[in-house]
Amino acid sequence: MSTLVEKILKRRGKTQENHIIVDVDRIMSHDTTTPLAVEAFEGFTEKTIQREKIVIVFDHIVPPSSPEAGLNQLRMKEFCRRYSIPFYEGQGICHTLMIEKGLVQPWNVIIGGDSHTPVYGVAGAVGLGVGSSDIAACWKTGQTWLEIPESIKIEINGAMPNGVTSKDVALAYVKELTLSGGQEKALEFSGDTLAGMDVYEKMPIGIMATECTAVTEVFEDKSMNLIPDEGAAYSDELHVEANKLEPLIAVPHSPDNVKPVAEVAGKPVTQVFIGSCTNGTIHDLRIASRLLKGRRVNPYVRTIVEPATLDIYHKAQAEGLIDTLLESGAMICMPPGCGPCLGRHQGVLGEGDVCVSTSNRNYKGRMGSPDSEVYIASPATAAATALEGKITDPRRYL
Amino acid sequence: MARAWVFGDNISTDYIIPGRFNITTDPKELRKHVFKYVRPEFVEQAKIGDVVIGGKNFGCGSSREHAAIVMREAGVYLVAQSYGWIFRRNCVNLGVLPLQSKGPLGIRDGDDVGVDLASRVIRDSKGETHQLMPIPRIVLDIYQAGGLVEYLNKNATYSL
Repeated sequence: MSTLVEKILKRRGKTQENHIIVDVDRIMSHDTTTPLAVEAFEGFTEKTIQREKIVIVFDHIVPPSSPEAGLNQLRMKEFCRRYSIPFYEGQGICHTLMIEKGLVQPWNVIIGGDSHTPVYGVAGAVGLGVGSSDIAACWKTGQTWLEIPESIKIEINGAMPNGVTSKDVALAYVKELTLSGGQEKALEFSGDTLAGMDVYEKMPIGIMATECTAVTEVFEDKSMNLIPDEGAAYSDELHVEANKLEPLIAVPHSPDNVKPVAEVAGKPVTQVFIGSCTNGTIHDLRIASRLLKGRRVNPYVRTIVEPATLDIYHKAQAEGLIDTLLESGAMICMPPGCGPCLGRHQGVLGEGDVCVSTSNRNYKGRMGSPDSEVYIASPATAAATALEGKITDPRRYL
Repeated sequence: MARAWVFGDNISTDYIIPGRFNITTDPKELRKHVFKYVRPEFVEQAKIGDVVIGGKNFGCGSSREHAAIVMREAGVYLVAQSYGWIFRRNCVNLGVLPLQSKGPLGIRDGDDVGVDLASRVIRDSKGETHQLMPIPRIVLDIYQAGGLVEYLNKNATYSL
């Protein structure tokens, strides 16, 4: 009787007691984790390489914002050229791009040099986030090892009320599970709220599993036979009643420090960021545009919108969303990437800045100065906040 | 004996080394920013052989191996009640052994402590010893090889 994560892992590996060596289907890394992986790879005496499994994405600082980042990226490109490895530069954020390009398939096991790799669970794969040495090792062997995690079942049921999005659902379970609640565990998501969502709408729920320190995660999908064995044992169960939720916000300085938006409404802000792997899809741009259409953002709020991929940008342009956003006074940041979320470029916070962001982490100094504040919320809450210049419950605009 | 640097729960890799400073792979340069926002004095005062004592979920968050590099570069022992999954792997892969305590150790910041890796024991300032958790074989193998690259130079693949 296996959990769904166990079933996926066991199809791809050999177990011994509770450990497993798995053959991975794909190895993803980006411009923060690849340079160290290249250095580690250089340390191998025999440089065999599983090039057909490798994908490299330039997304964290594109284009480079410093000579050091430039040098890192130059070395990465030399590596890609030497081993004929495909890469994407300026095309989008790695996770959104991987899913969009069909590089994540149900039942896959994918290793990624990025902590949010578990998000591939939205497409029925087991994603494992690792560091650079593990990436280099996987380039060489095509394999990795892990202890098979127990799973926590998270059931999400009910229709989301007006003003509530999948990000609010995510914040609701992160609050319950806390930052350490997913430690050594996998999360398995199911329930009728998810049945009506496509992979992109599920992404905030998938991304935030990392903030609970989950090893991996997967979303059940009966159409793909992605279901656990009947009677499989779960270490814990959590139920989210989506129909009873209201807009939520994680306040400084922890992603599990979640409160109703109404409780902190009125707090003045200086920046709003709508984007990242968490909330940069066409769904999110539609939500933001719906609130911002025909209105102007508060002039004292630097409002940054960054589509997660180039395809999303083109789609948004075709739908007129880009014009709507620009006319509202928002800045559209291109090329698509991770910049503002991790305080690298395109909106780095200074001392005293207060930002409502649709990204995933609000640790002290995450988006710039340690004396800035980051609030994590949905694109609806972010857009409403941009209009008012203070944290605002979006329901008054919807 | 060495100084204990005691931290609370959920010290993320963002706190171990903020993202803004990960633009280089030079360990000496990275070392200048370790714990910059949460324990600014660590950079100047921490000595090789000191012991970093984390609470629960030490090293949660981002996968940046830079956080493990600065631990190796600082030359400190690591003991925590639990770790972020990726950070713990990264440490082992770089030849740093993350030791795990069964619960809080009652050690205060600045206490004089000693770690014996071979017997997995930490001695507190009163001279009392605390046995730390066992380590899976593959983790020990990777650590003893000197890290993951060295492990895979010795072995064609993993063995559990």
